[in-house]
Amino acid sequence: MHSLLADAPAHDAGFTSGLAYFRWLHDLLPAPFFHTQAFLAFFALVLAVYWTVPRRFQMTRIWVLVIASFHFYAAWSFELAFLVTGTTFADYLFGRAMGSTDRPRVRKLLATASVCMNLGVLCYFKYRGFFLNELYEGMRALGMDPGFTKLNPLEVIVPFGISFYTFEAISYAVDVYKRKIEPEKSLPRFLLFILFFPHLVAGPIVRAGDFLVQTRRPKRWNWLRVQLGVQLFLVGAFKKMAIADRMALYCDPVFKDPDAFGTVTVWFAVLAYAVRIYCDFSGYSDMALGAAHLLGYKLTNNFNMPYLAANVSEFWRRWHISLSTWLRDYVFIPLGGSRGSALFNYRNLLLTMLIGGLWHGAAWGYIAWGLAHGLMLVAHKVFQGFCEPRPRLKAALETWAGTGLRVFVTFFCVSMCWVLFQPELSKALAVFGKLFSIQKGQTLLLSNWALWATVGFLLACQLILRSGLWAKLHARLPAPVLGTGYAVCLCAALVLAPDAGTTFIYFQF
Amino acid sequence: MSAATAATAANRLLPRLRSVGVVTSAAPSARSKRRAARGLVLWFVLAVPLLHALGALAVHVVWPHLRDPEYGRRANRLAARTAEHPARPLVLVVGSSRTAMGVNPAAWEAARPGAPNDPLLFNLGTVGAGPVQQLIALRRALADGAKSAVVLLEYWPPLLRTDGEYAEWRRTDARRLRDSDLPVVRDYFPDSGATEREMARARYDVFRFNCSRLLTQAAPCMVPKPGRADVAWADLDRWGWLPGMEPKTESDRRALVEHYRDEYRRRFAGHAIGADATRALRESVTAARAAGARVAFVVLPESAEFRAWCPPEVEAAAREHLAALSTECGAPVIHARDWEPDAHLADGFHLSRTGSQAFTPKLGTEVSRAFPQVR
Repeated sequence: MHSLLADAPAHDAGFTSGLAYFRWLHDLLPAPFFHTQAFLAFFALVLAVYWTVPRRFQMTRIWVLVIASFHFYAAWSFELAFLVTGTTFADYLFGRAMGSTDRPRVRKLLATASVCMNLGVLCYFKYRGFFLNELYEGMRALGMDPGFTKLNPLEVIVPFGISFYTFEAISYAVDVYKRKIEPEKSLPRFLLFILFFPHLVAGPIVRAGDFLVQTRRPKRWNWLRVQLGVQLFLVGAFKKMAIADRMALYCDPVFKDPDAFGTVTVWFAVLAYAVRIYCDFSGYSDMALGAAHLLGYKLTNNFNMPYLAANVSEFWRRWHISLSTWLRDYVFIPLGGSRGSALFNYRNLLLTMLIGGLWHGAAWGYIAWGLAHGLMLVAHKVFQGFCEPRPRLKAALETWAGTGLRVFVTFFCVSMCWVLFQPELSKALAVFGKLFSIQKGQTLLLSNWALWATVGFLLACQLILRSGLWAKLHARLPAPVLGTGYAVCLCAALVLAPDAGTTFIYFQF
Repeated sequence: MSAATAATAANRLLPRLRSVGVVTSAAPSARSKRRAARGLVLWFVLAVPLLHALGALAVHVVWPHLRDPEYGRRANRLAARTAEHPARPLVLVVGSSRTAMGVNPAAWEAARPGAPNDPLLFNLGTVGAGPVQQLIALRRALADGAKSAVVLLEYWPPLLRTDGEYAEWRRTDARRLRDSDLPVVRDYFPDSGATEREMARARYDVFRFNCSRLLTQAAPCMVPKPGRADVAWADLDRWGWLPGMEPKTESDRRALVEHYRDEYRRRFAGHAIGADATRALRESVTAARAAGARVAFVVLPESAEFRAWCPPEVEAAAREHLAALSTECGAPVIHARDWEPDAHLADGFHLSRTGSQAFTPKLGTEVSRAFPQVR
């Protein structure tokens, strides 16, 4: 698949086959990926139409975005675009109905119906294949006739971003039920909340309380915001094309066939995968934030230098922030949160992370990944309790060297968990087998120097950002230097992007 | 480095940058921030097409060799060698990878009689080239001012098949083509419009379309070795020779031969010489003659195993075709097919490094003999 700014290859869903209009649309915008020339053309058109509409026609602007978002999704699959729009409309009606009654039981029933509908759609598309296949295997193992054939996971079409917009709809239903927010009366505004194309297919997971209020604010062209949007989009594109896709050259062949490679190569692949998944997902999120800013909307920041976290708990406050806060607010706290006994707290952590793992995908690998993170969070809690009465140990861990050690250990543990982050658990176990027993095998025909250079570059960028140097420099550098510098970065990303680019990892979720 | 240390470093660095004028001295006001943001976006919007235009100018006009380093590096070496030996008659050997790996002019230089007018062999082979790409390379070399006394055109039946998947336009990379190649493209490519569109895209989307070639030349370590384009030019010697494979043992060599057996059996099944291939060979002869060069066809060495793969009817048809072409064009044929022992042919049809060292002096001698008047 071509990377940024080349034409996107068709991401053939096998769905867009019916109406000629949608087939034509599919040819124009074959995949909902931001780093393609087709998307840039689409976005430029939307931007032009959106800002051409006078400010006083606020609702017209919202309709422009709703229609654009529908087309963005329908270009991939118009059937699923209608499905998403249909469930969104149903969520809107549930919300209105909850707002129209004060009877607690009816409100609860409506909220439950909304949540069940969303979870039902999610389970049907995402988990049906997994559960049926596991049931099939289980029955076969017990010598029973399942009475149905096994599903081919590759043939099960999972709508792009289903996990993201389902969680958004669920949070809306729960918040309306708990009266944290008023039910939205305007259908176009509610449609925009769910369908807004920058966050539709891979997040960040927006909250109704944060987003709907923005739809009411009149949008003015603001150069500071435009600059921020362009900057974020460029940073995201650079992360995706020049780093993530390049790192895929190191990790993809190894993760595909770990048995063929030697131990050292597999270690390098694990490091490359950690860099890749961060740059891939945070790159996408940056592009989504940038695109939203250009349209006058602010989405939740999804990443905050997660690999500089000094413990797993902090990592989850920096990684996929919109998901971790969602899980905290709608799973962890309702389960009881940190109240009660330590064991009760640990159970809640494990359950929350297990659901987090399952959210990513219906496969044992993701479940194991969630469980591993849950166990690490529990271990961190236990260690915190161990350090509490030992002030000297605590002080030692707070020193420069101690912090460095904690950052390294956290990065190491998180990187190990990324090995599990794939559908096939057997392959993850094969990778672990290679990692912890010295075995000979193939090496990648790639220079490790390039891998270290990329890791060093990324680390340097993060330290420069964290130190505040970039903020100070950015405010003082002349516009021509910065503008040209950004253009040079874009051209560098175009040259550095491998010929065979990859899709976004998080689109599958 | 902790955040505090980094912040201290940042505070130390800023006054220095300010003193050399890289940054302005005071934090701007809100209004000037807006103005700066507008300036930044507009500069960016202007700089992107400007950089693309500069990039296009660089790789299409100033350094066209960057897009086709295989030809470009040979062209530079050709100019250097002819400048070193202005009095000697230049013999350009045009062909495929078999020529690129098989003709080792340095070996001829070491073995030649030493007369001031010995032929000056130069290797103008192109990996994967059939008659059409050979024509392109020859036209370019002549247009670049190469004064060739003799042009040797490789004749190899497998590359003369042009039907279906064997059509040469299918394996021609549009990103390598130049505007001066357009007449050939229009004449030989069935969907020349598509190729021209690809060429145009390589012009306006210059960084993306040429990224792998540019990166391979600037930082080869960033590009995976399998399929890396620089195998065709990274090891070129001063004479355009591309060192080929050198199997260590006879069993290694046999394994290489076996590797290609099925592919060539398929290629020989239903083999017929394409009209376009013949036309391109004729056009090469005409182009060389127009530049004042004499022309000969050369049939490069093949191993006995490889010769055995060629069905008799294909063999006979090729022999007849070459004879007819030679007569029609008045160009002699250098039959070197069985000049080298099997051990010198790494995979049955590419000369090994040792093989090229043994073969090229014989070729040079044969050229001297075939064209005594050019000496």
